[in-house]
Amino acid sequence: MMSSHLQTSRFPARALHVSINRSSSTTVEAVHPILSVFPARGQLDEKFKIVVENLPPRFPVTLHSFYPCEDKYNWEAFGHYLSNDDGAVNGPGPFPGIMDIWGARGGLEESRASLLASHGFASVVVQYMTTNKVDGTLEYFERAFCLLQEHPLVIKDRVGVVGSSLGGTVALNMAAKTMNISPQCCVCINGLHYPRFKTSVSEFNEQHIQALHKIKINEKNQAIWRDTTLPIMDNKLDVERITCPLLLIYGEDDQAVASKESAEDIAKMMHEAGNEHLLTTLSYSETGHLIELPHTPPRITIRAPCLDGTTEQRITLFGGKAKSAADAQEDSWKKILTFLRQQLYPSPDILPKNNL
Amino acid sequence: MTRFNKKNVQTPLVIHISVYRGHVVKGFRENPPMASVVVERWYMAPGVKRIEVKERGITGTLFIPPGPGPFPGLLDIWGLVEKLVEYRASLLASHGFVTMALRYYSPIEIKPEDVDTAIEIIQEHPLVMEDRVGVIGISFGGSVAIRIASSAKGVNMGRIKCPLLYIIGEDDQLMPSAAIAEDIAKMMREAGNDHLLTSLSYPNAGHLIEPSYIPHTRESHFTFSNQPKMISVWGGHPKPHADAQEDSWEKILAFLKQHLYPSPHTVLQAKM
Repeated sequence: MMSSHLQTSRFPARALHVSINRSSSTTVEAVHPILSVFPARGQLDEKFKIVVENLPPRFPVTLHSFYPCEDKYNWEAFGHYLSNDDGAVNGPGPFPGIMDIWGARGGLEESRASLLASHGFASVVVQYMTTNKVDGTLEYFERAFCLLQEHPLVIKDRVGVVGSSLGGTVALNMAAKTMNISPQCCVCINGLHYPRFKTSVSEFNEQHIQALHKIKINEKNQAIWRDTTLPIMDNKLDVERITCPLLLIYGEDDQAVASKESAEDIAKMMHEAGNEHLLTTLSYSETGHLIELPHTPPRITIRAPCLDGTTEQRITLFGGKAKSAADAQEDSWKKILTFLRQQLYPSPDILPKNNL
Repeated sequence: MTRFNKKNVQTPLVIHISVYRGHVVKGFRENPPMASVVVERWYMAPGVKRIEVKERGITGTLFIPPGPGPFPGLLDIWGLVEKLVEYRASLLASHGFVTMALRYYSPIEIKPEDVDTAIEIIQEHPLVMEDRVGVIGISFGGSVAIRIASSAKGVNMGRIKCPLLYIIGEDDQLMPSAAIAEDIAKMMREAGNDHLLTSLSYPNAGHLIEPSYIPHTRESHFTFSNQPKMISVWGGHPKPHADAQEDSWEKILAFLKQHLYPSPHTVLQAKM
């Protein structure tokens, strides 16, 4: 903990419990503290906690709170603090960036990107499917990625990619340099390392159409897609070409795609290629294809198109059991955030040390 | 120089918290911070409903907690301000009490019957346990509350029949609250009902002891009726006053819960 000299103007700063941590020494200019408040939304008469991390040791800072009132009066309070010897987001930016890619469900799902932004990452989610048709050329994804990099509030060389399901396959394609872009890190949730796309993500359709006969129907009359993605295609990614950290997440009971087999193959290939130090694998038992946001109801089955070219829909088993899947969602989200922070937030450690 | 008051309790306070390099005392708006976050603080918990009341000559605002109830009730009476202050009532509802903030126009106009009517309105509400209704008042509202508790026109503290939590700031510059508190205790001792009294007295706290984290104001502009604008000194020093608010608010909530929420075995008997 640190010593503090607290001055208040209007706000009683008693409401704040502050702990400030730091990392090792750094040049004076490049300090990127991470500021968090828990809870960010609460009741007026509840305490909240402010944490400032990622500062150099014994670094003086001023903590300031400001409230513009309904009438013309403003309220503010501030306090002077010193970071401690152990040392520990951003304000006006710039921020690391995330490209968020979802699966073949269509539409534009903003929930994950908005949460990532709430954790300090400038995030863009791209739509690449219209109705039931998978579209999205590789060039389209390249353009979206570059657009994000070039945004004035984004740190150009700290842009990562997060993808789930078919979006995970796109993310892996990016990491394996199928496109002319280089993500700083990659998170893949229940995606496969095949097919290796040539020009468009719609090439995924071709794999499915040829394998429609492999769709199983179980005793509950639910469709199971899993076997349509087996065996592992010859046209798979050169995972040897991955040079960025990769967080691979899969549900062991994924009934939609062969994510387990894919993950095992990726690990084997990277081991043989000598780049497996970049790989972290998280697998969750009794968890299916949909590992979504924490505290959202886990989805074991969904209503999905029959994939036979008609507009029919039927109940499709995605796998997993409710409690295990719910736990997996909570745990994986925490680990995703930690991974993204480690890979994308500049740390004083990696900046050139000054000559003290 | 103004007191802190949020008129619209249905929207949150939006507070900007920033970290600046070095130890600075000014220039917060001119110089960019190193990092900044936005925080919201709400006066109404999710699900709390706000209803404007205008019936039987009473004007006020009712706040109802979420859930099937029934709930204890509270009448919340503010001090001498010519407007309805709702934020304490909304916070009390957020803690599980059906609470009505009562509007009154001047101490001359408020009649004991009006206050009785307000309490009846609360008691008659379908979500309220009619035999579990309390009163909370600050400043002049506190006097009104005591009057209700003693059910008399003059305040004879000997006639207090219910538990009373009496809170003062010892640096109150508006009224001699320490002396008043002593007098109350003396009267109740002599009447033999001082077992009902709990007193909280805060050194260096001023007149305006409000819920936790409301900013302290030592003095502010004050207008009343057609009087010329004046500055009223409330007293209190920032840290002790802030501590007093935190401590007293916690104790107020505990006191209200203890006396107004039925304990488990009581509820069982009542329902059978």
